Amino acid sequence: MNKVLILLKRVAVPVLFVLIEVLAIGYYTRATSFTRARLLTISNRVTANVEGALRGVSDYFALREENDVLMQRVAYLENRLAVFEENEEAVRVEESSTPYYFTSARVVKNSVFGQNNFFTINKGLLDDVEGNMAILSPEGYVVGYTIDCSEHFSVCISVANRDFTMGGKSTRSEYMGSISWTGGDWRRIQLTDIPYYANFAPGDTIVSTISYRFPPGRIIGTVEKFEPSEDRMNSNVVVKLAADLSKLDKVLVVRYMGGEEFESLHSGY
Amino acid sequence: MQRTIEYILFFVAVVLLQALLFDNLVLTRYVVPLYYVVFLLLLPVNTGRMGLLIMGVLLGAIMDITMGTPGLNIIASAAVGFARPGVMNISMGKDVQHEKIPFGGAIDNKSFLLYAIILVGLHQTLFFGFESLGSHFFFTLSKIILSTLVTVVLVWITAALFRKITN
Repeated sequence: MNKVLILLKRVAVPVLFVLIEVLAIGYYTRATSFTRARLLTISNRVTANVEGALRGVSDYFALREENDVLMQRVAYLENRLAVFEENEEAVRVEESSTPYYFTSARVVKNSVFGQNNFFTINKGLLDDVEGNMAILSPEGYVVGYTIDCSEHFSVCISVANRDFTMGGKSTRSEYMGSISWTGGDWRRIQLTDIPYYANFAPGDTIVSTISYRFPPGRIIGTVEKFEPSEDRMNSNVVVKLAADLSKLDKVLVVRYMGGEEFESLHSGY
Repeated sequence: MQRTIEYILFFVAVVLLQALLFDNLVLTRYVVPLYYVVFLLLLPVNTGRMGLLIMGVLLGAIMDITMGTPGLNIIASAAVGFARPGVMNISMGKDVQHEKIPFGGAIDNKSFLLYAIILVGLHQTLFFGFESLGSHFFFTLSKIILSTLVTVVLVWITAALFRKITN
């Protein structure tokens, strides 16, 4: 009997170790992006406020650069406004209502080095931010969308996440494909499912197609390389991201008023 | 002398450093230090095998929640906790028996370096290996090697500081 106990004591640690590893590997390989976002939502309750405060200190050093970007944006919007005002004079169109509503937010936590990257913004359910809202950089470039929200924060899935997908097309040839990331370099993503005869050239701009998350025509990046897929039926396009994901700070959250209707209509097919 | 309070404070400091500093540090995509493993390396020499395994799982679980990596940190740090007695035996042999923490004193620098490289290397290999799941092989390999080097340097500095403070 004593020998049995000694044996049990001896194998307890290795057996427990194997059990833990099996469970952890099983949990890890089965986890979805939603599980990952949930974990971040939990830890955000504790760390996001601290990280936000740290971010506030580093902000002062970036003010000048920030101002330049904002001034450029103001100038651009002023120009567009001028054009619209002129058109309004000429045509007097009925008051057009856009289905998109923009709010600003700050990124309080960010990652780019993982294979499934997320970032956290400082707006949540109390600010009317929900899941599946597009996130754009201040310049209007695509950076991700919200996936899980707590009251004051939202975890967003970054373009550089292997579970990220969206529609993309070239402004020049109008061929549509799907955007995804295969891991590795966060500055380069893939546009796949492009027919092999589609005409792409390096430098072409790739923009978003309309979906329940993204407004159409938002810049994703530019074509860097263009190569046939393995079966030669399609082409893979390497796209250089327009937004610098490692420097995310202020972002725009896009609420699409027709989003739910759009999604429920499409979910039937 | 188990230095319980010192170790509790050390645990909190390591978790905060990893979550607030190293997880947010944007250096290069080849260097991502998983610094928190230093806690498992510096636990008292006489910590039992079960204790090491439990600390590994606990530390891994906390890091999983802060990094949003379900199970990935547990896979890596449970293995470090489990492997530590064996690696300690190989690298330090009998020198370690006269010491309370596995750094300095009767343990020469070469032994500690070997000990740290094996355990940190194991940790980073499991973490980045499972993270990439075999894709981007050469990128992952260089990430493992460079991150291990940086982490070992950080472990060394921490070990020296920790020994000074606790002695």
